[in-house]
Amino acid sequence: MAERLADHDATYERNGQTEEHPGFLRRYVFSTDHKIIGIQYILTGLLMAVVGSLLAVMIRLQLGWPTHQWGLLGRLFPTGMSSGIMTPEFYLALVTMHGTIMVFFFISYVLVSGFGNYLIPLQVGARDMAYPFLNMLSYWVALVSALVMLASFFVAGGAAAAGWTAYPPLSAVWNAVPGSAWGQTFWLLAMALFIASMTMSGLNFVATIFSLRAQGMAMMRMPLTVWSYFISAIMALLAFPPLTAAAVMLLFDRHFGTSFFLPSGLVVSGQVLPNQGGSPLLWQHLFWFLGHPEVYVLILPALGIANDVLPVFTRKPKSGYRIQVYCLIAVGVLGMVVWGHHMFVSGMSPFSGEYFSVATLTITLPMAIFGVNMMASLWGGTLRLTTPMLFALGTIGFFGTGGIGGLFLGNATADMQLHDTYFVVGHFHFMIAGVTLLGTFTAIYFWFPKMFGRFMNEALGKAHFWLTFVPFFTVFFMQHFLGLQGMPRRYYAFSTYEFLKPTTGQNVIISIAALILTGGQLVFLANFCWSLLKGRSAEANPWHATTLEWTVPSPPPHGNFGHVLPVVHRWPYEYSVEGCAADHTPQTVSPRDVPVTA
Amino acid sequence: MTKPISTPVPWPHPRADLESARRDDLVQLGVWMFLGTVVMLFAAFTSAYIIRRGASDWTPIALPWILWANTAVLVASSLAIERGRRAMGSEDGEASARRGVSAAAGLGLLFLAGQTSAWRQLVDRGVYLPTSPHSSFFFVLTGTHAVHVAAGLLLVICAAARMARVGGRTDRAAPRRLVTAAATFWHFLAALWLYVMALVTVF
Repeated sequence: MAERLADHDATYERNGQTEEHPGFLRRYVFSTDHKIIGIQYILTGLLMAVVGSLLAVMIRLQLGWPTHQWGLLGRLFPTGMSSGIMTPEFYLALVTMHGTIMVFFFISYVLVSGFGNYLIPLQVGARDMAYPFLNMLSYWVALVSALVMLASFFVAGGAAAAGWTAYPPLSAVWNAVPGSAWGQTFWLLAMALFIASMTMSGLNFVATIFSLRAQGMAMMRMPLTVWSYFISAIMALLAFPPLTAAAVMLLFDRHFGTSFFLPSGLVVSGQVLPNQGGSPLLWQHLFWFLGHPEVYVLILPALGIANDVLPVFTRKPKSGYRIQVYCLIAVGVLGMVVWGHHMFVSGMSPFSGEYFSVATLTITLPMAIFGVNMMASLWGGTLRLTTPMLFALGTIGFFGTGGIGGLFLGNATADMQLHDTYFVVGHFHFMIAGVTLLGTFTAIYFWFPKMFGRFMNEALGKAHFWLTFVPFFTVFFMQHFLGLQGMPRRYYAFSTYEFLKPTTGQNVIISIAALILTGGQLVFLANFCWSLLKGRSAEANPWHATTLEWTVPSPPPHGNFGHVLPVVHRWPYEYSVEGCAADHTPQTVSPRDVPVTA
Repeated sequence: MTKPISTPVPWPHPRADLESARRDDLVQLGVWMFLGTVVMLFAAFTSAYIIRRGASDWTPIALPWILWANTAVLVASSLAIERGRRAMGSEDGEASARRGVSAAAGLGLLFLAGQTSAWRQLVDRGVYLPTSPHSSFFFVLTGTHAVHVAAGLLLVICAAARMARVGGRTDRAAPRRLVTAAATFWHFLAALWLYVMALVTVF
């Protein structure tokens, strides 16, 4: 040990710059500290979530009460809702922006970039990310991207209206709908910036996990949170660039008259377009090559986090750690090659359809093993139902419920019937919205004491859980049945369709549940702000957990680990070791003091 | 926020305890991963190209001869930076290393000038972006490549400047890292150009 310290000191000295004395701006604004950048991402993402939720409220007001005149909204949106009634074009813009903001600017920022940045160096035992400057740059590009996306609400024609998938021709023809004008261009630019920012984050995630692990932190000793970020970052690096290529080509189609995605003989507002030979299907392939892996980029960290929170509140070792790791890898590989299941009705060859079906259903295997293993982690444990534990359990619940819907949609034959109905809306909200949302809240409640040195309020936290879980389940479980009744998505009203008359009451119930869900989030915002200032103060390891971030003060100092980096001796789930007085053994405890079990 | 972060204690430098060799590896790892994303970008363009190639309106355009000269220039540039990088290791190779990297930068600039000339020749002949799918892809592919070359050129120029600044100092780790990174990127861009040329001329 003494020898190692001496070695370490020698390097520390030889490198010369051992410390920095930055001012306020470099500390908190243009900071290269991964923790500050993580918090910046989280706060930015939460603000975007407020915008995204308000859009959802307007969508639900419209679908629940399509003929009601909303006087106040009419005054706020004189073009989209003149005299308080929503226009179909405005509805499309709302749906597009709700999806885009929630997927790319809320979940990606808070869960992936935010907590990824905050947790990875702390959990692998590094002082910072591998490329701190790149990391700072990634946040500022992300912020600009979010601002460009928000600015698109205020340009002529309003925000983009071609769906979060931006399918051409709607997204490629300037005068297709009002949102196809500047709104769509801003959308594409914001997405290009988003991808640039995620690429920089992804490079940092992979490099940090790959080469900055502390001594003794073998890959198979990393917490599942880190594993999930690792797989998710690799998927992001491989899957995102193709959309940049597609965005470039779409911008050229829109502004420079090329025909990458525009077919011959397209008639828009009575005029034949000059384009010929392009393929709208090409966009769908390129988009879903990003779009499907993006689902895993978001959902894997949520699952990883839930996996890591379970042992803390059951006080027993994680069940099937290695299997979970192999499942993550399998899902990462399979997740890259199933994008076609979003396009079963696009006229693809039945042979491709068959392949995409089989590959998609194959993902069920590792994911089912993963889910069962999470439940097995509860077996025989001493459950402590704290707020983060409730959210982690909720994550498993949504994962199971949403996963069942996936079985129907992954099957090409069933999907022909269900495609573009509310069954799909219900399914993907459980997965990409529900699992990730609950995973995000698990992370916030669990690591809030580490990040800010204070606890969040437990009573408010539990109220928030029930006000999230129950209404969320109501909304999206019911939407599956709307889909089975044939209710198509992206329609601004259903009052004119005779066969959908029976769904009127269901839509009202869903809207009421959605309003309760949104209201419940106010409890969270209040709790977050109040706890930041007045919360009960937290010690270094308030949950009695074992991973490295809990061995340092709350909040951790810059450089995370003081003068000497930690040495890891064991896996991250050493709870209730036989013959040991404490019921948890941090990863840094030497095998001389407590035997290593795995 | 709370106490510990706000007290103005000095920050330990994030890499204070990283061995020099590990820092080299870290930079190379970053470069290679970035190249991976560029490969995916061009893979997407290629798949689009193949699909679009099948449409009935595909009419090939005649490509300007200067592209072949540009190809030679970029390959020469790649060889020059490799010479420079190898000279860095040897005892008295400083000057020859500087010459190699500077030559690479000059040839890179020449390549970009040559590409601009190729685009202008096409435009003078009346071949624009929307003229045919082949011309659309030609401009998009060469344009995207040129953007990457411009970024690579910036890196090569930085490396050349850094070497000039080091002079007789003993610490050569930082400039060596920069030159190695620049050379990796630069070789990749030359290889990528050969690929793009093959795609737009042969296929």
